[in-house]
Amino acid sequence: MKFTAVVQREFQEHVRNRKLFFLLMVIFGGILMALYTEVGPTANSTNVMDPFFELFAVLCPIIGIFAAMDSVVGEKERGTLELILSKPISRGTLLYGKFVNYLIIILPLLIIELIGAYFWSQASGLSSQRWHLAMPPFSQWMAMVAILTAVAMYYTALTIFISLFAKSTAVAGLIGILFMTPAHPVGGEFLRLTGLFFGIDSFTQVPMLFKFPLSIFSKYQKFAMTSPTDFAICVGSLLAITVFIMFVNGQVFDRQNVTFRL
Amino acid sequence: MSAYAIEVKNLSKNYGKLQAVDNLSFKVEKGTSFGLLGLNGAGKTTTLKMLVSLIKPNSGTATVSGYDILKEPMEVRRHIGYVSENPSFYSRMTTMETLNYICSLLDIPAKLRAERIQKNLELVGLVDKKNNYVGEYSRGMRHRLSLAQALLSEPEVLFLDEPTLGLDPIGAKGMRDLIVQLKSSGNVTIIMSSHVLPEVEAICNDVGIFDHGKLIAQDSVENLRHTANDSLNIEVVFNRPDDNVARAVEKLPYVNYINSENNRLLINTQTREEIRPQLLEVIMGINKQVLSFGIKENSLEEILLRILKQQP
Repeated sequence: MKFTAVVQREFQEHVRNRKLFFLLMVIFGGILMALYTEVGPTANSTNVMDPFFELFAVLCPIIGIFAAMDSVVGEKERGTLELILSKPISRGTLLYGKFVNYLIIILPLLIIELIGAYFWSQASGLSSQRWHLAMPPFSQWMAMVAILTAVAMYYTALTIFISLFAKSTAVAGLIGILFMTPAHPVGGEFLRLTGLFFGIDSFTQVPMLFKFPLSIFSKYQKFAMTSPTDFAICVGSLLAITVFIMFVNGQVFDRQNVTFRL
Repeated sequence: MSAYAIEVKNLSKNYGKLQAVDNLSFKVEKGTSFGLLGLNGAGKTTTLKMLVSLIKPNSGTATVSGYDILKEPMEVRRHIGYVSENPSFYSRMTTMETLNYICSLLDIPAKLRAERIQKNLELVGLVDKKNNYVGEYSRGMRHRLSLAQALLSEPEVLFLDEPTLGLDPIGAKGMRDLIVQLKSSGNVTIIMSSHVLPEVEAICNDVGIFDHGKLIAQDSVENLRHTANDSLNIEVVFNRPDDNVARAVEKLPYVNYINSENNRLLINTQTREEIRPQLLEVIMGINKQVLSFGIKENSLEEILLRILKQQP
């Protein structure tokens, strides 16, 4: 009951402060960029999915960070944390309620808009007439959607963790962006150089155990879309990391000597 | 069942090297009202927050309404109401939405909510604002809404942290009247911290005086005043300022200290009755233009300052 009340209140807040609408437009804008601008396919692109993934691998972390950066620190800034925590609700319930609300506002928007983009690319003839590239099979497109969704969830949980300690919402957002490095081409380059150092030039050579932490790197995520086993490892480990971070968030928040007003 | 609404045992809290609350112990009887007095940083708010179970003490414990703040914090919160010194609400929620949300957090059954919300909105005079966004509220209205939300749980103990802080005189009086009204119902124990001493005097049966995290005195206002009456304050008003009188009076052996302000002279003397005619004779010998000569009772503020001064 309390959990549902928190989710409902958070959802209402995100509708009223237009965050939901903003996220809708960010994802829609990303799709338009991928479809209609020079962000589109390069000479190395094998199908229409490439530009989408390149763009959304960076956009999804931003979406997660933007959604959750004020989760705890925003309550402190407004001074509302004291009001809520003086009621018989556990800190964990409050935090998990917020997280579920973020998933409710992010995931449907992301999944529906990306699926819509697939059918639009196909129906409008963009893939064949503008790019002269084939559309990937729908199952492969959905693999991309699943990975991107898991990435957004991971960054949402991570940003909540940052928000527990940040001095302001802006600081939480900036620190979140720093944590985006694995999603950035810089992170990919770091992986490539590290691989070369160990004499590895393909993900197929990486032992299974090492692939779990690699799943936060967009370079590996892109590779994972081409292999069912790697896809399962990538999505599975991103979800596992997300659950672990949320568990840690709950434990930390419960034990934290909270400053109620910043 | 204990006769005490609150029992504090050796409660301590430190922030790094700062000892905010130091080995605090006191009891508050059910149905009474208790005021926490002290200067800024004395440990009043930290004490309240520990009792509300918002922050955990480093050592010691306390029971509120019979529930241990460390072992049963949820039960503590279920049986109390808390008005913070700077009440904040979600600005994009209406009054009704806010109170409904609080009802959900308090596990109040849906069928009881409407009646309870209406009753409390009527009490604080916000019925006509129930569909307004809280973001549109003035500070005084936020304080009243804070009291309404604190009363939703039908609390056994009501914690008020500086309930009139920052309010204009009319808003402060309105809030004070509400608290007095609650007190007169006798169903709730009120724990209040305040800097406004006449307010504490009007509301509280007993007061505790805090200094550097320690409770240095706890008694009824009346008893504290009696304790402080080991000296006498005499106020003399002249038709114009006169430094000669102040200088002469200060030298008298039975005078503790004087305080001169414009044409008003406050003289603190020993309590012997024969002093007063002697003092008047000395004053009239220098300046006959005395407009008034009378005893000024110790206010709670003076008692507080005197007790604090006596501390090492």
